[in-house]
Amino acid sequence: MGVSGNQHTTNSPPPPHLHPPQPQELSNFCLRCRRIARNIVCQIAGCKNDDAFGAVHVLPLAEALCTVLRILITVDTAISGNVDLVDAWTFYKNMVRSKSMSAVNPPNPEFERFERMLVELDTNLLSSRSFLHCIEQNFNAGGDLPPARQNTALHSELKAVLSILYDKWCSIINSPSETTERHNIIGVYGLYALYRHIVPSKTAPDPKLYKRLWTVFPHKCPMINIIGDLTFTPCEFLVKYAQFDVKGIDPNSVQTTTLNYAKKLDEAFPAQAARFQKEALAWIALSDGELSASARNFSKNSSTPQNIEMRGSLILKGVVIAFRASTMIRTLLSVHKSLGIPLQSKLIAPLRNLVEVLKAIEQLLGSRRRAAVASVQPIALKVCEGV
Amino acid sequence: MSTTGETANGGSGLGQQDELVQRLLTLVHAHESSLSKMSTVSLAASNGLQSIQAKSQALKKGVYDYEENNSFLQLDSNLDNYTSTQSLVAQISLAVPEKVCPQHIVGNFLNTNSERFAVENEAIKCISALSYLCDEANELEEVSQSAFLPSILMFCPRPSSKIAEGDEISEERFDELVLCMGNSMQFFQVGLMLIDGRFRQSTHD
Repeated sequence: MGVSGNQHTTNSPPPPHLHPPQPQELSNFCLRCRRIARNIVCQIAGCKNDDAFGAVHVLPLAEALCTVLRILITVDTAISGNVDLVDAWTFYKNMVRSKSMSAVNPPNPEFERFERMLVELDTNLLSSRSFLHCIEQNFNAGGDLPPARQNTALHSELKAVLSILYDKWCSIINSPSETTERHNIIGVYGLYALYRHIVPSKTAPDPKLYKRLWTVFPHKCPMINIIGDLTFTPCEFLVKYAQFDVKGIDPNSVQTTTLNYAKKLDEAFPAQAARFQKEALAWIALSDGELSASARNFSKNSSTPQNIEMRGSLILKGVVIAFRASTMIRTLLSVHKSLGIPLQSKLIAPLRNLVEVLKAIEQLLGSRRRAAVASVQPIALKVCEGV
Repeated sequence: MSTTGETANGGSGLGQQDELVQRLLTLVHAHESSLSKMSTVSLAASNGLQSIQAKSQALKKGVYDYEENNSFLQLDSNLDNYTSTQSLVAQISLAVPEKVCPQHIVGNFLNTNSERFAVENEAIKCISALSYLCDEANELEEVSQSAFLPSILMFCPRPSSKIAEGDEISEERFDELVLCMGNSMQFFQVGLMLIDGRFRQSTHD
């Protein structure tokens, strides 16, 4: 991509993550966006059409659907959040339009094709509507299955799985074992928007479900950092893609709620960070010894079930601590940036401490890599055996 | 952001704060990336399935010392030289990219002598198809994180250009951004196909 390539004008090659995506990789990605969402919805419809599944909910499929929808939401947010990109696209379209209008000769077929491509780009990608296009596509599976809009079994299944996933992930938010649940919930909101588009418009949405989506998670975390400085606000998303007037819900209160959350976060952050740092230090001290290349860890007795379990759980705990530290930092920074609230100086030291925690965990796992690898692999096999 | 005063107010202060926050976010993201890269899971490259089966059987027998039994886990004596050329079996990741065909794993539970073989076989086909879909979704996320999103996020004028962020729509800014867009057209064209699913179709046609 010229954009990123422009940043490296010297002879040194750019870092791997700045290389332009290869068409083959992107073609795989292409196959797995809108089409995979449609495919999954059709599979869920097929499952519910078969008595063999009975009351069983196909949660892994629903989770996969949430993942796909989350990716599209992220892409849309990334495009709309980059002012340079939006401006550049507008200028570029204007330039092409002026060239087209000033052409004296009959239009060149190649140029016409190019213009068509620009229109498609504008409609499907650069106007930040890829998620909308996905949920508005035709989900009819064909065959013996009824059309998606008339398939009540599909509607109730989608509603059931989104409720289950929402409750499951919400229960872990702000708990000591939280890792990627905040991001996963973005997909649940996407799934709700998809559900509302599939259900016929004459069918009234469930106000209780809407109220839960509006209150439960947003009260815990009204704003999520997706990637970079991009944020996701669940209530704004609901208003944009699946608005529904419910008594007791004020769409205008989103900003106030987020501001109050930011104030509380500022007050609680130093104490939280200090507590967290102690927890991380305790983990580092323990794992530095337990994962060292000692005779105990790499002798013949090192592979006893107790040793394996102890080391495996230790490593997982370190990863969880890293996730939590990262979540705390990103939430604080992104909330301040999005709302334009200045950072107080008292927050700098706790922020620095948490970044140090991240670096320390990375460093420790790096230096104890042999023990980490040797521990995790048997644990994975134990899990396989258990399954 | 002011590190000396209580808060930073005023236009320039907010600008600096934005910049610092942006840098911190980038720093955290970089740490996260390196952590997840370091802890990416890859089941043994060439014979993952066989290895898993062998190890599962060993586990059932209560044998946990894999290093002794065979060469499944070949650790190098040098702790720091644990490179991809060696037999790196597993690292940690919370989102594991699946490297083993689902039907092979599920097929292990299939009893060919069973009276219900036909039914079980059908069930395995269904589970395999659904597993592939779930696997595809996970891989899709990997690709978007590694290839697609960074390029979109990094779209900006060259650092060497004279236009500043927030500059009014001047002729220089216009030229610079149009040049950027022109350079990126190929990327966005492929990106569009990617979103739409047409790249695959056109290559098949």
